[in-house]
Amino acid sequence: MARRSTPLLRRLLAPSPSPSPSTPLAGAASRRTVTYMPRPGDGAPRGVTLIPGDGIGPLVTGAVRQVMEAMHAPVYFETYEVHGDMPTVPAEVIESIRRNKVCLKGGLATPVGGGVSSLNVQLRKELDLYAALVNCFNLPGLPTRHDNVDIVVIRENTEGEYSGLEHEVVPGVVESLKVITKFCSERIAKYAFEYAYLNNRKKVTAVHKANIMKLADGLFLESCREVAKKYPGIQYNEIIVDNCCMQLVAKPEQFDVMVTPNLYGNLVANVAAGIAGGTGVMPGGNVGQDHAIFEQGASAGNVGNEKIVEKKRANPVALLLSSAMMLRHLQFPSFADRLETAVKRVIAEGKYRTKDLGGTSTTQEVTDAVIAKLG
Amino acid sequence: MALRRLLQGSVLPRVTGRALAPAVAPFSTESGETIRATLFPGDGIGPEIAESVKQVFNVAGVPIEWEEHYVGTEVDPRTESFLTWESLESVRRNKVGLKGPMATPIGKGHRSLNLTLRKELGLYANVRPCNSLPGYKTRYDDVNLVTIRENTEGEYSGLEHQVVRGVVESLKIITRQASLRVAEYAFHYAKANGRERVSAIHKANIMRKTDGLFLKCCREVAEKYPEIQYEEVIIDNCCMTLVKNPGLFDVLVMPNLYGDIISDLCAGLIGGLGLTPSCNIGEGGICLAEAVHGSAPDIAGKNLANPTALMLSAVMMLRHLQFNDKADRIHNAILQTIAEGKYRTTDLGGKASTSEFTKAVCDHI
Repeated sequence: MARRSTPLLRRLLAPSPSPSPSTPLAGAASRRTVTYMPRPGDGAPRGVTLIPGDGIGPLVTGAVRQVMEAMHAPVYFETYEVHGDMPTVPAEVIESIRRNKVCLKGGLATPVGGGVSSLNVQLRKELDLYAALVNCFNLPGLPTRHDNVDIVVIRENTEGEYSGLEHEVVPGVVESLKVITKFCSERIAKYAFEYAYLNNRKKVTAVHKANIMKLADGLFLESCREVAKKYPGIQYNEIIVDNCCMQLVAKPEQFDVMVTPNLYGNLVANVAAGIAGGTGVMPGGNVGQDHAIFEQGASAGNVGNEKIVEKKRANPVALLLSSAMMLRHLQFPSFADRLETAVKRVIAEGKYRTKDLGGTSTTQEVTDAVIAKLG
Repeated sequence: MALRRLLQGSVLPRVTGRALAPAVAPFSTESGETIRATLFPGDGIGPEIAESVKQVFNVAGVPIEWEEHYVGTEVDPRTESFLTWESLESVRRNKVGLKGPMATPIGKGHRSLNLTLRKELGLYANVRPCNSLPGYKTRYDDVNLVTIRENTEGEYSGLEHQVVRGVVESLKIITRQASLRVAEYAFHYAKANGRERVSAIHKANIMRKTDGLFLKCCREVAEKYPEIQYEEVIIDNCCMTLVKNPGLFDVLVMPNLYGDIISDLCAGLIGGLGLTPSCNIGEGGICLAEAVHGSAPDIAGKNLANPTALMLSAVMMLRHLQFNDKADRIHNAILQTIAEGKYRTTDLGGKASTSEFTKAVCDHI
């Protein structure tokens, strides 16, 4: 190394002269050595398809955009307008997602009772995003009735009760098909165990109703059991869905990773999100072999009501944390850490919280607070 | 008469007929006339807790004569299950019954006991009132709701088949007739018990035709009861709101699968199945109250079981029979005993035995 660069290097590696840190985290961040070693060229900006969506969607995706800009994150967004009442997702949007491989989206509201099929579900099926993941955990500083919640719900995303195969047999009698296949059950089980293995999780619980739906959920359980044998280090157990919901409200600490078919996954994810602080703060996403869509964790079809949109009081935390997951997925872990730390600090402080967390702030105030706390 | 009492209102913990009365039934309450009711003590802890109920009823002076029936040891070919034809005839005749926990025998060649009861008696609605017990602290204090679940069709029709190897189909069936029936009962219940709001829980944004039909039927019935508020809630929001703010719900009416999950979720909110009463309504005004917990074979015969669920279910049965004052007295006695905290069974964190708890309830009457 040339002699002149040594003092330069010394200055770079010396702790920055920031004001005395108020929390231990601040000090650690400035003192941390470089732990993520990228390949040359990894810093090139990545394209991400952005779908603002309906209702509170534009508000919260706007918040994410602002924070990404403030961080100078190496992502650029290709925005597309999609609304829940369109008949199908426009081809250009699918094209863009296939190209970028990653998408961030606000919710798409599905009109109830007829006409259009859910675009959320359509996107998932079209891109074969077979795993939906919701991470429900207690945020420090946010009081809830349950502590010790740290649950990841992994839900099969393409078949089950959401196959959309319904017909009227005779007037007044309607049938809906629930389809379970070995192929889909196996791959979701494999994903769940792989997730547990890669993230140092100790237990995987399969949620089912096989005492009543013996063939369908029985097939699901069989697939889970087979995959469980390949991961002897991870505990595996099974629980019936109604008992599961009861246990979630009584003793949520017994659950770690949960793998479920489509419908039960929806319910369990919403219950888990509710006990940990609400769907406004839980991150999640949908992932498949080739693509990933990140969105608010549970209840993606819930886009809030007009009042929230009008007063701009939507909670951006869920989408911010999901975008942090997205940054990790894109292999920018350092940016992800910064974002998550900032969000957690804002929540822990408690000054800027939206209505669903018991505060009175607007989306913009929370966003500004997060930007201010970015290290 | 029951309605006038409801409107008089009263202060907690004295409970009025509001909380538990299932339906207005054509029973006379003239003194001196005993009502015959079928009793299925069940297995495991069943006989002990049934004994508790009988004791409490004796002390309260309820004019009920019990016809006890037990699950047989052989399959009765007329019913294809271990329940005999005579047992079922007894319930059909008496129109009212109380059932303890029954263990499901394993094996083939017979229908499950619950399925038999349901099909033979046409039990179409399962009513579970969930109220926070004063004095027994759970994480939720303000639960005061009733779940009414359609019990005959939906996802539990049992119609499954393997299409090809590795692909299974299961049918979910929703009919206009069954949906109308349960919606009618829900609104009728709400009106008879002074409830203000009925919420239909659904997932019609995804399952448009099936849950859409259910909603249509609920709407039709709602129009006939303009004094009762009606709303529709998607099940995602319902689940989340239940765990965050259960006080927002009043009466919930749901198809079979959601009902199963939500009613157990609500039972979890108030403290578990050991404290939750339940009642099944059948065609022709049949009311079969039951305890929904298991038969707990590990504590059977040891005088440790908690009879609260069966007692509260029996109270529901009494309200169905319009013995409202007796029902109130017994209900208040149970609540007081639990609230005082001196005699609580082990599952509630206390050390009392079944008989001690029962005696305490009798003393409070």
